[in-house]
Amino acid sequence: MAAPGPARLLRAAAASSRRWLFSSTSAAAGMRPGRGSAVAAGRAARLFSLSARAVLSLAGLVLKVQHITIANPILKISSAFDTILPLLKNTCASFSKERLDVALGATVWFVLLDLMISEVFSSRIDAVIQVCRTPPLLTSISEDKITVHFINRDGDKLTAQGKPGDSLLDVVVDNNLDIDGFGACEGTLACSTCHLIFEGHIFEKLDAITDEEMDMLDLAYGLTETSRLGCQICLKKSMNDMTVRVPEAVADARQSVDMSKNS
Amino acid sequence: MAAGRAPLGLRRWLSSPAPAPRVCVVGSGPAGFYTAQHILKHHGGAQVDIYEKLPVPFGLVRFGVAPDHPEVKNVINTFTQTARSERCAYYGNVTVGRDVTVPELRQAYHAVVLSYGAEDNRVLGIPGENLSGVYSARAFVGWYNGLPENRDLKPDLNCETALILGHGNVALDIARILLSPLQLLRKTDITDSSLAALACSKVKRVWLVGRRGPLQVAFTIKELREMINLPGARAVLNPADFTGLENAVKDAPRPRKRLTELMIKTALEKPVEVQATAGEAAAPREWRLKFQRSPQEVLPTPDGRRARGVRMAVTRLEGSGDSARAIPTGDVEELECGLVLSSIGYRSLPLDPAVPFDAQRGIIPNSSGRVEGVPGLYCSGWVKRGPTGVIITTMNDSFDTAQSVLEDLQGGVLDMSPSREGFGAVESILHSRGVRPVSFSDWEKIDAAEVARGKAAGKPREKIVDPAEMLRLIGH
Repeated sequence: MAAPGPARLLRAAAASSRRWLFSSTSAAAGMRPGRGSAVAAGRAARLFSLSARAVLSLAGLVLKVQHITIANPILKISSAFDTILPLLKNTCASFSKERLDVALGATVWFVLLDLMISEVFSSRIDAVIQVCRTPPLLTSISEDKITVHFINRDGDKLTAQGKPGDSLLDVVVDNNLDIDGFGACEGTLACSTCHLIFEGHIFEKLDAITDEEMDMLDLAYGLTETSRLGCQICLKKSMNDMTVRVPEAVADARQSVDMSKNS
Repeated sequence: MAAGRAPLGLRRWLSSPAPAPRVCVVGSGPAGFYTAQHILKHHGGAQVDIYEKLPVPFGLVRFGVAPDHPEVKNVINTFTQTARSERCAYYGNVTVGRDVTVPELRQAYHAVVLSYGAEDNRVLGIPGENLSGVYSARAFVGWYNGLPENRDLKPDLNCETALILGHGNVALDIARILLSPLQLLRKTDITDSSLAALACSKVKRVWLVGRRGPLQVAFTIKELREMINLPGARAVLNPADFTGLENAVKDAPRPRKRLTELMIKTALEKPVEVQATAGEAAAPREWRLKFQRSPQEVLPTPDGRRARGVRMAVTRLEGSGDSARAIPTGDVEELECGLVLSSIGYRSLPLDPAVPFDAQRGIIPNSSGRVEGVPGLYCSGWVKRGPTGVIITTMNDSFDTAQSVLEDLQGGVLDMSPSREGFGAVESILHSRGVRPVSFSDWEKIDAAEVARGKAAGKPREKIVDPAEMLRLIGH
């Protein structure tokens, strides 16, 4: 299981960062007031920010390589760190830059660390991964992942990712998306439970539908002009960020004796 | 389980200890399993026990779906997952209504869901129906699918012409099994004895006869296409049956339109010279659709014992679409055949005097799965809405019933205060009646044995058709 690796990494990062932090502040505090201490404090602060960002980015990178989605929040925080810190520095130019750096670096780092530690250690690793997965994830910065948004029957938006060539059924199954009864026949064109409704511009560019798919699609409930079976649609780069809708109440048209009533 | 944002430990710490509801499901086919699955998924504490009268589970997925449709049986995988989950238990070899009554179950469980399906069939109600050579489609399907009660059917396949009454998917399934090349059937999970009988079958011509017209057929396009493309058999459709229909379906919904267009296309195509498949008889097999014929009598052979043909009334249609009715015109037609299969629908039977039953419609009167007048009693599947539809329809219907159960559990409608012991209470009842339930791991032993036996013959499994043999295998 991939999780212990990153967890150990985070713990190590936390430990070393705390060491950095304490050694730096005590050094700064113990210094004689004057030019020397300010320079030293500044150097310490810069080292801090650097180390914090480096550790965060490294942790994120390692987790991402191991395909754990916890990476994304970390990357986001890391990039936020990059943008927020300079902003704060500029607005507080009248104060001692170095001291502010130290304070800011320390505060932000502690907040981040606490967040990470409480998430990682107060519950099981896989529960954390689950927690990070179920709310909508952030857009991937990776080249080969395609993001798809599913609007569930109750209106909830579920976002997941797949590789080019994955079918939409693969995406639902691999990401354990909570769509009732999806993919009953496991992608063998023997049911219509993976019926999905596409956006017009995406629908037009889909590969042509076969007779076999249409035969099963014809029996799907709530058929629309832009309906297809998810198990037959494979991800392409052009589909990145597309939204598909799960139609209402999956019910096969074979139940209704009068097929002419369905439209 | 829907994952919340709070870490698991925190959620557990905050939730108050509520009594775990115990739910009983009667019937282990798709209806039973989908209902159980939905309840388990949306209630973190419920315990669901599934009872089944046969030792083996899965109902019509195992005994109804045609052997050459293995993909449809993939749902067994999700059912297996459900059965193996820790809050679900399977108890086979328990006949509810005899080994344990519904009132006894209602004492032991907070909610009881009846999902026992339709074990009987509608009767033609015409003279000669009981002659030798006349079978219900249900029994015939049960026979080739290894349903224990039909294992001794021994249908007589010595005649050249078979007549199937009905225009649904079951009728097409039977036609396909009768006409399929043996080498295709050999690789399926059709029972060995049926395979042997089909190997000696003389049936070359299959008529599919329906009371109404092409626009009222109940079979669907995938199954029709399969028949049209069946190797070694040709489709003979009369173009006269389809005059004017191209226009009639111009504006029909796509499913009906495509289905009718396919029939028209097949009717108008010049019959292609069908090459007899290697090893088969020289003359190709054929199947025909006959419309607007209503069976009046099964005609006997001179010795009065066997079927030799069917006399049918020619009908005309009154009304259109699905509500069109077939009215006899007064003309009759006779068709010679030695095998008559009546595929006019399955039918549910009442289970227990304590359960209301609508004999007219063949269902348990209910509203969204809640049995009328009996709180705490529910139904799902064919016994709830009638014996039509496929697995997906039943899935939807089961989720609907499960929703009702969940609503009632959460809304305090059900009496949760007395402690219900669930299987704990039922176990002693069964023991006192000498009934020994089969567990899911017992079924897995039977499953493994069937798969092993099938392997040698290149089949996915060789079904065991004798319940006594099943029980011996697991040491009961």
